[in-house]
Formats: sequence, C-alpha cells, structure tokens
Amino acid sequence: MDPSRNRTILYILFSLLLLVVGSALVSGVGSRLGFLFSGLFFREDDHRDEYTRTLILELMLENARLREISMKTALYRELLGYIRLPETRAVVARVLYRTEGLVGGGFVLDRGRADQVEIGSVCIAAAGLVGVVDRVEENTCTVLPVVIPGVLVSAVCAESGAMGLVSSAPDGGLRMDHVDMAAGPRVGEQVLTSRFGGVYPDGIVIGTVTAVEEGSRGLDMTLVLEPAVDFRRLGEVLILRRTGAE
Amino acid sequence: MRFSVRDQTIVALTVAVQFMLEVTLGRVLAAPNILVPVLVYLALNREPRWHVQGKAFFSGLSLDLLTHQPPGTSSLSMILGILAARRLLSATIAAGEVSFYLHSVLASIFSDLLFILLASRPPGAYFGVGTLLVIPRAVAPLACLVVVQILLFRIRSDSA
Repeated sequence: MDPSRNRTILYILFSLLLLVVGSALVSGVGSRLGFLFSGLFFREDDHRDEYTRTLILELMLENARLREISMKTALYRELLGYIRLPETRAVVARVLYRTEGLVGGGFVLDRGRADQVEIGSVCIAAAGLVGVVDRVEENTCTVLPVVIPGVLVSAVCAESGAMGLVSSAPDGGLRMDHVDMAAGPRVGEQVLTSRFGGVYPDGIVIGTVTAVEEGSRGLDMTLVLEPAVDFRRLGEVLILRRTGAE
Repeated sequence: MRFSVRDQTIVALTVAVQFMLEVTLGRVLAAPNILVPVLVYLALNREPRWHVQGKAFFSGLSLDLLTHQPPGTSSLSMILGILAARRLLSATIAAGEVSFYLHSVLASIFSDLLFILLASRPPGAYFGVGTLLVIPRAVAPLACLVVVQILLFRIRSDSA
C-alpha cells in the first residue's frame, strides 16, 4: 500500500482517537492544573478573601431574590411572596478562561464535581442568566452560555406574558421564537426564564426586548433580545445547585 | 519524509499567529485562516507527495490546546480538508500559483466546515448564517497575499 496513504490513515485515526478520549485526558489534567495555577491569579491564602467571597455569594443570592420579588410584585400583586428560588443552594465560581475560535464561547469555571456541580446546573450572574453546565471535571466545569447555538431556553415576557423559545441570534445576541401574536409583546420589557423548560428555575432575567418582528411563517412573532449579561466581562458567577425537585 | 527545521519553525510561528488572530479578530468577526494555506504551500512546494499530515496533525493539536477546543478537532478537519481539496482538484491542470490559491481556498473551507461539525455541541449545532464566515476566513489571507504580490511586482517594475 502507498506509504503516504498509510500515514494519512494513521494520522486520521490518531485525530479520531484524540477526539474521543483526548478531551477527557486533557481536561482531566487541565482541570487539575487550572485549579492549581488559578492561585497565581487569584490569591486564596487570606481568610478575608474567603469571607469576601461568602459575602459576595450572599449578596448575589439576595440580589437574585430581590430581582425576582420585584418582577413578581409588578406582575402578580395578589400573589406577593410567591417566590421560586426556595430550595436553591449556590456556589460562587470564577471564570478561568473561555474557548476561542470558529466555534467558541464556552466558559470554563473553577468549580467541579468536588463542589457538587452537576451537568445541567444553571449558571447565573448578578445581571441574569449565563447558561447551563455542559461538562463537569473534578475541579472545573464548562458552561454553555445562552448566546451560543444549541442552547434553548423556555422564556416568558415579564409584562405581556408572551411565551417563547430563546436561542442565539446570528449576530451573537438572542432571539425569542414562536411567540404568540396575540400576546402583544412590547419593546423594552424584560424576558425571564419560564418553568416549562424543566432546566432553568423560572424568573431569571435573560434579556430585554429590543425589536419585535414577524416570524418566518407569518403566524407567530420573533423578538430580538439584548442579553442581560455582558458575556465579554464575566468574572464571578453563581452555579445553582438543586437540593430537591421544584 | 524529510525533517526541515525551517518548515517546522514556519508552522510553529503560523500556529502562534493563528492563535493571536483567533483571540483578537476572531472575537470581532472572523479570524483569517492562515494555517491551512501555509500547510498547502508546504505540501505543494516543500513536501514530496503531499506529506503534510504530520504537520497538520501537530499544528492542529497545538491550536486546539491553545484555543481550548476539543483536542483533535483541528487536526482531523485540516487533514481531511486538505485531502478533500487535493482529491477534488487532482483532475484539474492548473498553473502553480492558481493551483495554490484554489487548493488553499477549498482546503480552508472544507476544514472550517468540518471543524464546525466536529467542535460544536451538539455536533453541527453551529451551522447557520454564521457558517458563511468560513468564506471570508478562507479568502481574506489569500486576498492579502495577492495584493502584496501585486505591490511587489509594481515596485520591482518601477525600479527596473
């Protein structure tokens, strides 16, 4: 057989092997190294740091609760106190790095299996929803942000109550599809997660409606959204750990 | 197969530049793909019988590790992309320069499409309007090369 062909097949097999097991090998080692070397950039030798982080965690959680209360108050005045983040425990995490290139945008955080983070855990920032945990290593995890293709979020408009499915837009923003024309969504209103998706707790801010367009089939509407979170400047986030079924 | 320090250095530098392009221009719109044209150039001019699989494999692996992509994705997409372009154009008879440009553009586009298919999660989820970015990624570096060549030609003509 042609030696050039043999070499090509060999390298293709190597690449396939890497694709299958390489991620686990590299991310296993990288997870540990990333955890060790994160100390170079983030000092953790001071008890005050731990205290500050705990304080930040509490404030972020409080912020999320207050935001939710504010939304619910405006929406359902008669149902004050109907809060939906009751049994949620959270762990604060730092963004170590993000994936780059033609297919990029995933965030690698410094919390993993050791911190009881699981695949499907929801990640939020102070401003709103970041995404969902897609991969978990011992000390790190990868979050797929809502602005990348393949991530779908069941959502509801805060004021009009219009429901739809939020996904990434070609320009890097967000869009909300399959919105009922009769619901009358308006520009400027906030879009929140709804409980119907089963993945995200309801009431987390996703973004704000910037434009209302007719859907592709003319029977529904598409909303253009400005994400609530600035994904270029993500530093600290919260990973929500579910302690029980909602 | 022969080992050339100069060629290895060229590939290593290209990987470094490609990485810098990905984290700068790639965040704005699309980073030009310069690694594939360099590999095609080496395949056409330096290597006997297109022996660039090794360079494509190791440069792709390095780039994947630098950009935190699943390891092996760039390697596989570049090897298969260059192979596909070569197979597609093997029947054509073209002058050296045109052959290089055609091979480069096709190999870049094939590689990028394969990369999107393999790297996105779930596989293929990234295909959409944004996929059209593979065209400027493939064409931009070669367009720059053409402009530079024309400018050099004019400068030489003027000085002659």
